[in-house]
Amino acid sequence: MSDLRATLETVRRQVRARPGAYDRVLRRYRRKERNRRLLAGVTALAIAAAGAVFVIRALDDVRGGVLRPASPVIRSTNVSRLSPVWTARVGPIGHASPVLAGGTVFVSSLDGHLYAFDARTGEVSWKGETGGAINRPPAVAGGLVFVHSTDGYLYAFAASCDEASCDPVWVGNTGSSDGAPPITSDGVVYVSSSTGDLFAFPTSCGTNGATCAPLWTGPSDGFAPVVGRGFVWDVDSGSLVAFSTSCSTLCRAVHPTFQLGGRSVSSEPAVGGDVVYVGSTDGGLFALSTACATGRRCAPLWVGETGSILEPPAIANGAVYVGTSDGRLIAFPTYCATDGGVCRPLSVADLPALLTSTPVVENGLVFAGSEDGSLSAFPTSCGRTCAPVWSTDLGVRPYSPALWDGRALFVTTHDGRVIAFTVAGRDI
Amino acid sequence: MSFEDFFEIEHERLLGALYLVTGNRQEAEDVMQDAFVSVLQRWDLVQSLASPTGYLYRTAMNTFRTRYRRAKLAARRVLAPGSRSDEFHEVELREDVRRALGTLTPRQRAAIVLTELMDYAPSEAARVLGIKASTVRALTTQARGSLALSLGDDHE
Repeated sequence: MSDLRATLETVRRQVRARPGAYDRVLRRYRRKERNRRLLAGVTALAIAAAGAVFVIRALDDVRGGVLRPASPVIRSTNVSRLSPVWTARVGPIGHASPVLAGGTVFVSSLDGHLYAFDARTGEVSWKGETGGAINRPPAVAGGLVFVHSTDGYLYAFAASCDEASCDPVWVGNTGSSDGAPPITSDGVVYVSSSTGDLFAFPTSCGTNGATCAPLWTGPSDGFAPVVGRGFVWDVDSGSLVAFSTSCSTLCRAVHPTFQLGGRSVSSEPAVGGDVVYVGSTDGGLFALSTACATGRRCAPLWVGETGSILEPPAIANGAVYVGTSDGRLIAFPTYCATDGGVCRPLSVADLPALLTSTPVVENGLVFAGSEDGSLSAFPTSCGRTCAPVWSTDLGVRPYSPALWDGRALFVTTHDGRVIAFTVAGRDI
Repeated sequence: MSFEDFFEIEHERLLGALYLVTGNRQEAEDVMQDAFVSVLQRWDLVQSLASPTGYLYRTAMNTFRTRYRRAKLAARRVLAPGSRSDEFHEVELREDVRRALGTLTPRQRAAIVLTELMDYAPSEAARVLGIKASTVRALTTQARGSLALSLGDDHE
């Protein structure tokens, strides 16, 4: 044992520290301290930055920018427990779904008013009056809410109006008596008129109720246009047409006629990715490349045969959902074919009655309202035939619902109800 | 006692012990410097302890364990375990002693240095090495057995 210790001692005694060992320790200590202080500074900066982000988000919350409901996300697993949490009443509602923005539900009514509801409580925050009925939904952009009234004017109200009754920020004369729905994109609000014009107004266009002059106008059948891939897609003389978003004054469609085999367009168009979808009066769903707008003539990528389509399709998760006049909800794959072939549906759901408006797809569910007063939810992962996973009878025709962060569902009914649903009726 | 005085008293002894553990002078010096830097960062606290030397050795062994673990991981990553043939070449030793020490693992050497050279009880050595006392006893027994085999029974 002592030999082992002696051996170890022999080895150890031979190892002497090199001169300046203490100075090297001090240098290493100073270097570590400097790095530690630097790391502390960087950490403090990161914490300060995170704090600033938190404060900015909190301020956004106060302003309603990123406000989120507290209720759980609505999914196929809990949709069966959807229950009303509040119901509000306005005048009769035309073909108008609610629109959500910044914690406010905007609802337009045939009584001529635009209503703004607190999404959490259902209390009216403010309302704005127009000179006619508003029979289509509002559009929200740039802090303004736009409604098209049958008095022939497009009205722009401040979304954050803090008075009980609000005057418009500006109005645009469309001369239209049917109040086609406005749509917004990139600082422009587009609206068609019954007089055969499509108007493009800048969203920021005057104050104190000034009358706004359009950026440009073009021919239209009075359908709701849609914007995609640098073009405004609309319907003129029964055909799908496209206008350049950079048009000025009098705009001509860049491609006068798409080849739909002589079939007439019956639904407002919808754009998803590089494809524009439109339904025909005799029941065809046409998928056309948006690149068609830059060519002379263009044939469809594929065609789905459905029965008459009256509402624009909804596009989500690689599928196009359309309601048909014979009460079916059909899903087609978005990239079905490129040679103009006939597309077979992914799934077909039987609705209790005719679809009232475009279906809404969110969190793996497709919500659809029917003429018999029912609102149903179908799973997006349906097989060939599809049954609802939730349905409620609202008595009269409901329009497309709007979801707030996937957690609260708002629906308007023809008799003027605005109903908020959450899972198990939990507070929003 | 100032930190400088403490360094003067302890550094040669610690360096020798670490050389026995690592078998490499540069590594032993690196570990020693890191250990003293850690002590210096907490010198106000360390000098008030009952055994500042114990704290120094604990810190040094912790540093060694961390470096050893990293080195083993790195060796595994490159699939080429570091050669141990150059261990203990910086001191004058009988070739059989050099070979005998080289047959021990760093963990075995740490156990035997603490228990044989530093006179730590297995429980104290266990605390310093962050392992169980029974493991220290097992490592010490293995180390003795290995050395006895290499150097002859008189080391037993």
